[in-house]
Amino acid sequence: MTKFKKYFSIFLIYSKNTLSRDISFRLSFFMSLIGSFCFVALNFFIVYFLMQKINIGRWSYDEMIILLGNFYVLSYSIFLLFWRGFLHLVRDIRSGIFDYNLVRPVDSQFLVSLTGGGFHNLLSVVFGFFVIGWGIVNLGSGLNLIQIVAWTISMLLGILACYSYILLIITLNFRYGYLEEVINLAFGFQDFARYPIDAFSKLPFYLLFFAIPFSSLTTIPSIILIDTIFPTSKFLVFSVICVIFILFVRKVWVISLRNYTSSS
Amino acid sequence: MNKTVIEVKNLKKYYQVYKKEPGIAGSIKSIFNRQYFDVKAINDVSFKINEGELVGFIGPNGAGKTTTLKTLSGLLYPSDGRINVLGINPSDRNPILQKQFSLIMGQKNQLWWDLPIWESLLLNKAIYEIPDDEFNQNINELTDLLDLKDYLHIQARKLSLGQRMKSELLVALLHTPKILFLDEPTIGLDVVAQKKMRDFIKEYNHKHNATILLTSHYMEDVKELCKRIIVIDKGKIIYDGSLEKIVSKYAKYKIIKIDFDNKPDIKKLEEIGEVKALDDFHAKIYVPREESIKRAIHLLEHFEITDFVVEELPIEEIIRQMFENSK
Repeated sequence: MTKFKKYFSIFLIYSKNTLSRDISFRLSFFMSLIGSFCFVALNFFIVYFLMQKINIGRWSYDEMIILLGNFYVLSYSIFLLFWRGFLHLVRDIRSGIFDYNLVRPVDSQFLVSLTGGGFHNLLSVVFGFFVIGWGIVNLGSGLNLIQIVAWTISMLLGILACYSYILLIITLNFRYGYLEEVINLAFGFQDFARYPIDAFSKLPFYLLFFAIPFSSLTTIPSIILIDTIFPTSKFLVFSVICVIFILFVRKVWVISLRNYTSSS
Repeated sequence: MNKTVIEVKNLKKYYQVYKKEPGIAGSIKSIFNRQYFDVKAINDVSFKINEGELVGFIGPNGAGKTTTLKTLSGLLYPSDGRINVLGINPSDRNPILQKQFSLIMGQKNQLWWDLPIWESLLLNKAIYEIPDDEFNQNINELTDLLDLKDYLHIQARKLSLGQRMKSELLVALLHTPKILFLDEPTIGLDVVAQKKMRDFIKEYNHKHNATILLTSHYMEDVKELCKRIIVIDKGKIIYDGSLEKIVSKYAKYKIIKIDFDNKPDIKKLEEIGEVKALDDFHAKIYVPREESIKRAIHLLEHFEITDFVVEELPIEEIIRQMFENSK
């Protein structure tokens, strides 16, 4: 508990400092806020008009709305919590500033992951929740407690799995250096999560390798909210795979640090 | 007797790097075919440092000084050998050890660049779990010593290099570390700021009985701060001992500086020793160390001089000679 308190207070300080820094550059801060509002307006248009024209497999309009809401929550939570920290990490590994993270009495993965929030993305996350709510209201089936708990667990695991995937790519920087573009690509793969797994049934295998895992990060939480019969086996398989993957990436991170060569 | 706080035995750190031919053709070739070779950054280094010692770690660029400090702080894993810092292997990155040392790198900063120093202090307070009263006491003490009271609420990027370096020290020493690894702490500072930084390091060492391992290219730092030096070259220790002893052990010459009444005869002067500098009334001559008295007497007997002094070679010169001999 004390450890949690310590880490939470560090997270709060980093968040406060990041926000203070963002606000101190007024123009940039307002521009990013305006960007977020534009994002919400544009995506509202997409959800309200364009989605009615799209038909994917068994997914109805309202179900696709829920899936899209899940995508916004997942994707922009990653941007909200981790994006800037990861970008800084690539730069800091090259400049050697990352070294300081390794000599502090705090877990280095925590320090590099949760210390560079992008707060303007909060609006997009809130929009995601709004879209999910809208879809559920339109479906008219309501939600029970089990669905809410299972959705929360699956969404948290989904966010962590997605984060772990990007972290896995970043750890390659320790060995190969300067992988900024690859990280952008890793973030790009998130876009597969915009569509349900059914949408990719005709893709070649090598694309499925990327598409299915990302797509499942939103498909499973959406099914939990949509299906009237709780998808127990899908939920369990999804959770176990996510947990294994998250633990695997943690192990890779620890091993990679052993090979860290620092910068002169 | 002081206890040993740092013990290094047969430490080795090898890197694998690849040879790249110059130009774009070399870059393209390196995509398909890379020739790797090992760089022996640290090659079988052993030493012990006692509590409260202030040790200078000196050597040319690429000698292995910074790599040694990084390995001692647990930042890098050794390829081979044993390290023990305060009874703990630093490679374990144990928070108990990490709370007891600080690594300060003169060329890298850990301050929040766009925020006041105060914010970086609050962050370190949380990271090192410093209680409120200790935090306030340390801030008062350190800001007094470092003359930083008026700068705590100014953004790091707006500070001068000297103020920033002092702020780096302030942030790094907030948790009162028992061991300091200082990598070029005075680099880029002007002479006055260098002096202030040295005074502070000395004061911290005395006050807290802190063990300090310092690398620097400025010999003034080493001369003023360190009784013991470790000289490293190509990853190997070539000298470990007191600063005074390095002179008697490695200096082959002494310097005689002379003021003349009249312009001296250069040929006669060259009989005394190697003339390094000469103008109408002053000369600087290198004489073999063991014959310095004999040569000085000869000088007094054969020249009309107003003043003369026999000096040891500057420490920089001795170390330069050491590096040349080790090639």
